[in-house]
Amino acid sequence: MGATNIAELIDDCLYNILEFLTTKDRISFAQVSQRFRQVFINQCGSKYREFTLDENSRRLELIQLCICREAVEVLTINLEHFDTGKCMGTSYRCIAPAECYGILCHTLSGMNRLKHLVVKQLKFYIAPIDKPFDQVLAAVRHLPELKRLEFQATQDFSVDRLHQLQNLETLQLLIPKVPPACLVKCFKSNSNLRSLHLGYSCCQKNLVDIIVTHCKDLEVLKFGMTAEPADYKPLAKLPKLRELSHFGIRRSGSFEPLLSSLAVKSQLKHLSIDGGSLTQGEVCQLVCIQSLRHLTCFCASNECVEMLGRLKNLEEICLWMSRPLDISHGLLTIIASCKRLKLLRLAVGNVNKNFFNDAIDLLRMDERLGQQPPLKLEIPAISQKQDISHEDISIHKERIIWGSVA
Amino acid sequence: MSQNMSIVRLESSDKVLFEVHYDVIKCSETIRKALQDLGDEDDFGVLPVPKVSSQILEMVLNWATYHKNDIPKVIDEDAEEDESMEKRTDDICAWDTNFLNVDQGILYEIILAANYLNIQNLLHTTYRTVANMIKGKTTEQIRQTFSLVNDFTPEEEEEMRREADWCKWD
Repeated sequence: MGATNIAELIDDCLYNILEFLTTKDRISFAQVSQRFRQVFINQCGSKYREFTLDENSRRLELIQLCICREAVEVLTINLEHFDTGKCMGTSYRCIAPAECYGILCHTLSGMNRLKHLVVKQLKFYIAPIDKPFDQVLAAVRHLPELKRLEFQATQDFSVDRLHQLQNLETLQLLIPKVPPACLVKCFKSNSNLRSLHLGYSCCQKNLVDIIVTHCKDLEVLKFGMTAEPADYKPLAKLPKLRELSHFGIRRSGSFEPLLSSLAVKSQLKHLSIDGGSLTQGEVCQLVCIQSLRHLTCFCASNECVEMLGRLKNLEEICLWMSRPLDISHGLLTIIASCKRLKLLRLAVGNVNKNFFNDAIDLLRMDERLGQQPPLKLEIPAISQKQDISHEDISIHKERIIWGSVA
Repeated sequence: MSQNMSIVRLESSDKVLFEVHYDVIKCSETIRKALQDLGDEDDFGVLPVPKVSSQILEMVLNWATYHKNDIPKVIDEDAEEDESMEKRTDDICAWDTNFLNVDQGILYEIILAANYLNIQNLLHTTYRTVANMIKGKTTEQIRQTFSLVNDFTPEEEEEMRREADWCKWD
């Protein structure tokens, strides 16, 4: 043994010494030599495995992020950090946003372990940075692990460089506009895309055709647009589609052809039609998709709710009623016929005061009372949440009360 | 502990024999474990300390003698304290400061010895001492203090300079 230089101390000793240093001193330490830098990364890198850069991020923290770039796996960039218009009343602002954004992009290009990247601009924002999304895309285009990308913006930023990525499996574009040609190029170069989430109406023209033609492996699709019934229908051709969500305004009855085609294949597990009450015609088609496990939809009548009970394999159902009807009978029909149901959530709608007792009686007759996991009912107004897994429901109620007191 | 074990005999790497009272050396987790493993049979045996020279072992035993009546500090992992905050370094007692006022080479040997003998309080004091030698210094000053060579490429240095330019306060 014998050490004449600090560099001869084992890593363990250097880690411990680091703990006694301030952030500023740690950064100076990390810049001394390759070994010290590595010691710093080994010690502090785990803090940056998942990191969010936002308007509160401080300079020293960001320098540490740069040093630990190789450790970063999940990064969220909030563009507000670079917003020069936001300096009023805060002690901090980025005074050279374009330069800082350049440093960030350079750092990004070295994040070899990055798996999941999110870039957001949600609040009002004075943009000092030219094409922020395209700059990021250019920086991350060679990252081998980057499988998941999410862009969210209210401003119309270009995403023309999307096709420079090649390994994407999950893509979320909640932005006002995406040119169809840009999407086509992106899908062509990312042939492993399994999950796609697009902002409402961000790409109107031929969207469905583009997806069906180029995303053969797509399993999850979330989108929203107003179109003719025939425009939605081709989605049923996607060979691997498991989850389909539509959100926002759509024309009444416009899903009938799509639902009918989906019923023929019967492979869809999740369906969410978030917006626009289902017509009787649509429900008739929907209940033929016997593969469905999870359903979220709007209904307008008791008959429609009752019909949903034909989906025998349902495990979760979430309902909105567009009219204030008492749908107790419809819900009891669902509980009675969907033996695998784990969750019934009524987001908007009414039930009568006997509903819970009737539901318990139903389950008791079926010998489903006390099964694990219990059926969970979430009903507004009467009671926020009730598990009817116990023989004596009053005991459970007491437990809830006791829990809230403690 | 039996009476017989009140004296422990240690042999340094250069074969110098030290006799020390058990109460002094019990701060060493390594020695304590070794004695436990030996049990009562080997009362008058010699425990080799092959990784520590007589010069350093003598210093460590001096430290241990001075601190033998210390109430063992519970090193709690700083209850509720922010993890990113650095730990205090201004609580080294005067005796320790004087004790550790030695050449860097000796200091590192003491660290390695304390690490080998597993003497937590001595380790912490030495870590704090080294930390104090780093605190408030620029990178270049740290290199000078510890005679370290800058082995970054000019490109890496340029990169670090840019990183440090990151968003400044208004």
